[in-house]
Amino acid sequence: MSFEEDILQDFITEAKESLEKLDEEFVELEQDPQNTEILKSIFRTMHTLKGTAGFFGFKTLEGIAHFAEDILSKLRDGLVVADEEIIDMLLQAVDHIKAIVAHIEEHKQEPVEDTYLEFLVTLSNFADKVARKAQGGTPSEAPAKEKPPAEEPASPEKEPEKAAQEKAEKREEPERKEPEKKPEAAEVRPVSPEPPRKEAPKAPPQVTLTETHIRVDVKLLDHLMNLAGELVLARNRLVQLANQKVDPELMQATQTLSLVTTEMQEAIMKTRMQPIGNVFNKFPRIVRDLARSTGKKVNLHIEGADTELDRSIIEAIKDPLTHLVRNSIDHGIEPPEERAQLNKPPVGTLVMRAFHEGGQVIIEIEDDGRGIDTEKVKRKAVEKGLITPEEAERMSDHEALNLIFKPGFSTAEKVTNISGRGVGMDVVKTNIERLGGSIEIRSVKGAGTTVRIKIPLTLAIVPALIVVSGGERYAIPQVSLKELVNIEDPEKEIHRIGQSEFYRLRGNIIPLVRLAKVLGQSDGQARSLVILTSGTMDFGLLVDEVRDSEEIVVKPLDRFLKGIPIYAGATIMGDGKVALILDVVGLSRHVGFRAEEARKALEEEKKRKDTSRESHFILLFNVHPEEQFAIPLSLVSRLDKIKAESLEYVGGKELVQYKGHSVPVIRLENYLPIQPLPEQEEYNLLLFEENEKMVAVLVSQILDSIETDLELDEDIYRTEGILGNRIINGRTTIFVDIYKIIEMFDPDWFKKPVLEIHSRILYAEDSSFYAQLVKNYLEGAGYEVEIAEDGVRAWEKLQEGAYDLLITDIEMPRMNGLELIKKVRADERFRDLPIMVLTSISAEEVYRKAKELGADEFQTKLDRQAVIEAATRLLTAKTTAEAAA
Amino acid sequence: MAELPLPASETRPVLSEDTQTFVTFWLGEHLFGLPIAEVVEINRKMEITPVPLAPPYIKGIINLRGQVLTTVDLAERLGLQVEAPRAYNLIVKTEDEERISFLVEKIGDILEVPSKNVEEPPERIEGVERKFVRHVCQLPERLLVILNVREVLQDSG
Repeated sequence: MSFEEDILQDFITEAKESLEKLDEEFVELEQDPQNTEILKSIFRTMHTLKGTAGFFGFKTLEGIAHFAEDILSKLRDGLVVADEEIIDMLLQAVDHIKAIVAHIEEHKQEPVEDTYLEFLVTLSNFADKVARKAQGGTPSEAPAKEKPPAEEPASPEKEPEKAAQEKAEKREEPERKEPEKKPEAAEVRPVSPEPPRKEAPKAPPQVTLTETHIRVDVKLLDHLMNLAGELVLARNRLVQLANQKVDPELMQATQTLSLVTTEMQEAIMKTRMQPIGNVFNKFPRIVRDLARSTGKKVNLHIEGADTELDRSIIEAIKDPLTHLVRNSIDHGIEPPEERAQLNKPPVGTLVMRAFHEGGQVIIEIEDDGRGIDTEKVKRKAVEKGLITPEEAERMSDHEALNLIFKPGFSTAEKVTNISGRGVGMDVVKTNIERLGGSIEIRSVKGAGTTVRIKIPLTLAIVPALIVVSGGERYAIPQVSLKELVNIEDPEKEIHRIGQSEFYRLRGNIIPLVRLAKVLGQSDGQARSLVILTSGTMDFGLLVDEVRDSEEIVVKPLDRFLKGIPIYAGATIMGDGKVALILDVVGLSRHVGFRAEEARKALEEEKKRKDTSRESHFILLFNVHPEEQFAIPLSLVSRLDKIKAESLEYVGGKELVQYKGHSVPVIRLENYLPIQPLPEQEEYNLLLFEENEKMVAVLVSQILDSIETDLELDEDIYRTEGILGNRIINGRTTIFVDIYKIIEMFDPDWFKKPVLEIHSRILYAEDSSFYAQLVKNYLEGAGYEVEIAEDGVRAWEKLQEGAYDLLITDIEMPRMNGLELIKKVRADERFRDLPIMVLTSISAEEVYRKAKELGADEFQTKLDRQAVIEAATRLLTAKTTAEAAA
Repeated sequence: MAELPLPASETRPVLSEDTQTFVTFWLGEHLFGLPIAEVVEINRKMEITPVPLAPPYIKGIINLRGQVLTTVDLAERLGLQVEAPRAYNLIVKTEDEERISFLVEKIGDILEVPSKNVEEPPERIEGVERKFVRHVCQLPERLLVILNVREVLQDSG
């Protein structure tokens, strides 16, 4: 049913009611012609009928109602008294109106029959007569009784005049519409100036209007709804009991009851359903007026007006929708000239669309206007102090769009009387969320904006997930539920940054909320994670236990408990006990600041990851086809292939001829617990060069060289020569500590500096790969190395023990290298502590900054020799300085 | 639901003069009363679902035949030290037809007292804040304190 048909249906229902009422009232009036109350009521009813008929363009109906109203006004004002003749004529008018309404109901249009027009003329003349009677001072006994004529001497004069004028207008209108009738109507009038009322009976067809729609008090519907809710609960309980007693007959009976209950519940819900067209149909007018006042041209398309929603929701979304439409026209759609310049059609398009999706109703308001300028939004937000400039810089477009929903935000350059009413989008959002809905905004600059609202079909009975916390059950509306996760190992799976906890769900970082904590209960096992969405953000709710999903009847909490934002109501469970319904939006707010904190921390972590990921090319190779190994590419001096026959075995050592040199060969299986290299015709060589000495590692195949970060797991292989492992290309890959292996092969391979004193080095490094690698080679050089996994830890260690050299990475969580240097240099005790900065890539900018802060040396982590030399240099200088002092 | 106990015959006044009827209940040593018109029903202790974050004197919510009612520990609300378990739910309705459940220790008699004996509360009443008291009525043994439900529920919304 289109919504036009819908309002027509409303009109008919209303008209029928009015007519029935008129019938009764006329009868009453006949018995008590002086009763002004009845007269007033009849007049009002007739007036309304006239108005609505005019609205739909039912001219004949409007005409009849008009003259009837005319006569009634005289009666009401006491200018004439309702005698039998007048009442008769009025009743005839009612009959005609009834017949027309019946015709409209069937044919959606007025009847085009002469009888009605004839009656219209008769009625008009009769009205004239009544008017003359009122004017000409031939009142019967009435005026004296009703109103003293002295009271309003002028009005009787004026009134008929005005009425006559109106009449003239009215009479013209139908004539214009139905030109073929005009001569007839014009003719008839003079011919029968005083129509005998016996003529009339031939006209009014007697119709009984059959009722297809009735009006029901909303309170009654609400009561029915409550009862249905009770019935559902009683049913649930009965089903539980029946399940315990295994009685097939009882089962059957409960099943039938169950079915009927469900069906009844649905039917009752339907009585409360109304098409969204009831709201949408207000918009053509609103849009038209707004477009006019802003000088814009807007075409409104309405789609899915017959989508049905619960009554209470329909009422509640009206204001938010109006606000959004205002916004679209005021801020979105450009003036025609501007559109023409942009090669857009001068008339803007606004679409209001409603449809069902997954048990919810989606309402979209879409315009093809200028879209939202996210930069402008950010600027505005910064100006208003909603965010800092740094935050603005980091913000994605999506996040920037969401700024619009922040309290105290308005994008209009100047506050107009259309959008700027002190009601911001934040209010719209709050209202939608209050309905259990969510709002989302998408915008393409220059192409338009779409606002998408998701709302539940009904607020009364909702599917919900039952969870347990602190031994009590709580219901979470299913609408907000995204998924369930079982936490096997809280230690590992729940991450903590500062005060916030979060969970990594398929790469997404989700802030966590512990329900027990929110509720002030002692923390239970909290092993079940419920991923929820508040519409604008996802978060995880840690609960003790997840039970079933159930249809629950929402019962409001009374005023004593309404103020607690984390509850949306209560419900009665199958066992008769009450459970609270959690308000997901309220919960998300409850933890809002923590989530924000976590988000920031995570962004930083991500940024750090991004920077440390930049330049790690690793070489993948195997020794035995079943095992994959990796080594940072930059450590390898050269790669080459050799034939099996060029391997020599001389003096207990395996050698290979390479470019005129005999190069010692290392087989990894001799140093690592791995499968041996099979016999091959041809081998691959990894050549390492140090101090003009060369060593070759013999491997089976070079598989690939890939770019990756160096996050390693260290717990599987705790063997010298292995730094850790990681899955690459779907295979577990072992990262080889080549320096260690060379050292194992030949302890004297690396030239050891002559160490006069024992030196302790503190190395701040968050990547375990580098920590191990650098530690190993520095220890190989004879230094004692202590690892700190970030700046904070390094600072702590500095307090605990004496170190001769601080080596630090730059990008670290909690406290980065630059901060660490600053802190160290600011402290009197460490003023002379030499500091070396190690980075994974050489970065001039970072070096400059570090130097300013007081770092002494800069090296890249993989340049083993340079790092050792620099360390030696710094430590020697320190010793010398100390000796001098 | 327990039936309201029948008025004890000995407390029935001899004369059929103007009287008021109160449902009485005990909180520790104190005897309180509410006009019978304000009391909907009396139930043996019902299962209460606690509502975390609610004020401490709100013990939770109960299911009264499909209606969810807030349950107030009256002793705690009035600031009385009562150790005994609260065995009864007194369902009360306010002037606005709101229903609420009061937890009380035990139910006393239903008393019909002559209206003239129902007096304004004195300046000081042992243990109870004056604002919670609408009237008092001196009984032979003790003072019956008639509560002002509206005041008791103030600030709790």
